[in-house]
Amino acid sequence: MEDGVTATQVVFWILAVVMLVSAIGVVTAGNIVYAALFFIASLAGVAGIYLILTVEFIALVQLLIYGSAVVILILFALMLTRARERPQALFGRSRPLGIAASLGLLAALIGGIVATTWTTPESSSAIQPVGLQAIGDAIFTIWIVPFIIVGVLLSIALDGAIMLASPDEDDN
Amino acid sequence: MPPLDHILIVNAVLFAIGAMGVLTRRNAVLILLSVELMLNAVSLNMVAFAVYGHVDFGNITGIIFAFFIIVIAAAEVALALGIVVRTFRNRATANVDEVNLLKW
Amino acid sequence: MVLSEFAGVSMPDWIDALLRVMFIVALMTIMAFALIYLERKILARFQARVGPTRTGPIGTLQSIADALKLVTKEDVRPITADRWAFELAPYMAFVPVFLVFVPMPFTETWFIRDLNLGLLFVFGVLGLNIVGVVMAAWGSDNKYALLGGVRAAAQAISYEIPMLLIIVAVVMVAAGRIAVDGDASAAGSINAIVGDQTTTPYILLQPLGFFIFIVGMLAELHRPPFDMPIAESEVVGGYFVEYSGMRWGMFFLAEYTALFLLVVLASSLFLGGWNWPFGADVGLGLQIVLTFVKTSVMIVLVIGSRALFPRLRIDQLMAFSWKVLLPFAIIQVLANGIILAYGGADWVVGLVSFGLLVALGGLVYYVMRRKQGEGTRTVQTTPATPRVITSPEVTPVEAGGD
Repeated sequence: MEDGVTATQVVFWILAVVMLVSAIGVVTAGNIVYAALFFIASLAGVAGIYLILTVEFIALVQLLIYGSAVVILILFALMLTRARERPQALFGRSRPLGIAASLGLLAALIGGIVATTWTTPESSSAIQPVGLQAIGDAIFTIWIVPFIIVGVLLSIALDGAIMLASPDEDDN
Repeated sequence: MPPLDHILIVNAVLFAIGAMGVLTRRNAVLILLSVELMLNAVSLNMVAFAVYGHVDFGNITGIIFAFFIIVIAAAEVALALGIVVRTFRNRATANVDEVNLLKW
Repeated sequence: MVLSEFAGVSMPDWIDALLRVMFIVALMTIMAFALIYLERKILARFQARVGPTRTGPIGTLQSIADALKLVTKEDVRPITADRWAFELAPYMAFVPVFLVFVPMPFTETWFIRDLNLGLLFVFGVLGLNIVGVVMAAWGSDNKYALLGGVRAAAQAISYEIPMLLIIVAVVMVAAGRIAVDGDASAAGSINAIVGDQTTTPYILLQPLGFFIFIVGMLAELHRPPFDMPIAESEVVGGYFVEYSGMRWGMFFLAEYTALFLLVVLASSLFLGGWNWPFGADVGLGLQIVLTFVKTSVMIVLVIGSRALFPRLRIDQLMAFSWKVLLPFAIIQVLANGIILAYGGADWVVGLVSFGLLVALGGLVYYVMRRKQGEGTRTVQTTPATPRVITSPEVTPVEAGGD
């Protein structure tokens, strides 16, 4: 059992490194499309960590929604805004300030995490994988109202996005 | 299973990287990408808490939260990109610091 | 379990898994070669030619000759192309398609892993290959490639949605039939769905679902009438126009592998896969024959579509997905929900779905007729009178020609 735990941890750290390195790629890449491609790698890392946490459902939803839909939308937007034809500064004037602020945020978060004592179950056998049936039951009983509201929100967002992106009929 | 605080630290780093992207980038699409990174960090945190049983409502709530975050992120991306495309059409720029007029 | 069933040996899990993966890889390669040969032969027959005959007996070695040519060809990268996007794109397009074979059941026990979330896995991972397409399109630094890639992505997203909804409808039907003590979590597993079709293939329960799935499949595969992304007369070759040699071959391989994959999926979901009509007790040999007969028939239909249908326009393609397929898929899900919630019998589900399919056909026919009428009206209102006079003489000839 102890051996298996270590293997999971090794995989976790590999995924974490992939995820964080590509996240750094997203925020520092000099090319906009590279940033989007790094974003995909980062998402894959997140999906892998979901798998390690035994929630396959969320991992697959992540792949389905982020991996294909969101990334394609973003690449579309990059092409529609003609990213490649205008080489330009990708960073704002406040870059040093932004870096400092995010480092401060990181320090505060890590400080909080380290200061708190977290209890981890001793072995992975103490963790019950959440079944698909349980997730379905929860969504369609306890969380049914938020679920319906999310549905309405999605259709409104769909309409709104079409309204925003479609050309005006009166100004040619 | 990795200990909970390792997962939390990784997520905190991811969140901070996302925040750095939001604060330093000037292209709207790249800012959106960074926001997505932050959202991912948060939903990973939710799932970690849920799986390790740190939520009072039983260990499924965090998973449901992650699910809702992902779904809403999709809606948010569609809308935000619609706005970016519209702004680009009107102002010929996707940089947030050049969109500085309320009316023109 | 692949080997142990024949030899009666037990083996560790990882060797078993490795054997299964190797089986799938071998199968996939053979199928891709066979499909390329078949496509050339079948298309040739449709066009009153004979196709390849010189390489090997009746041209059967043609695909191998093609592959040899591709391998020995120079791998050209345009000087303005983006290096990383251009070189990684074929892998991004190919690997997801290969991964999706994991939950595909060829017989009752021949699959890599039977996943409870198999259907979600298929669509979640298959969607990633669009990323490869868009990378190729952008990385090539070519207007035609970019246009083709954007078309491919728009098309894939549009047709994935009705397809996913129809999968939901199928799983709803399956859940009611598979559920044990109210636990229906096995209904997302492709093998469980096939296992349920001993007497009734789901095409009888969900004919509309089968139709939408086939249409979506043709669109995902860039097959006519949905081949705008790779239309030679419009965008030269589409997103892989700048590729040559083995990188081009990988796009080709991905396309044919996806064809085989989606055909296996369609036959599993709607035609009873290895199960219908003989049941699970006939043994592995007959089951695999059954799978291959069903997939072969569908492959011939898919390849034949290339000779039978003209190409749509991109706006027609979008309109068909968003204005016809999507509403009907939503209605199908709602109808299934209502019928199943009130304990309706299987034949009610099938009848309603068939009614919806007829309604879809009727709607499309009506709209097409009305559009046609509009077309003739605009012709008549134009001042160019000779056209109107000659048109009655021309039309019968054209109709006769068809």
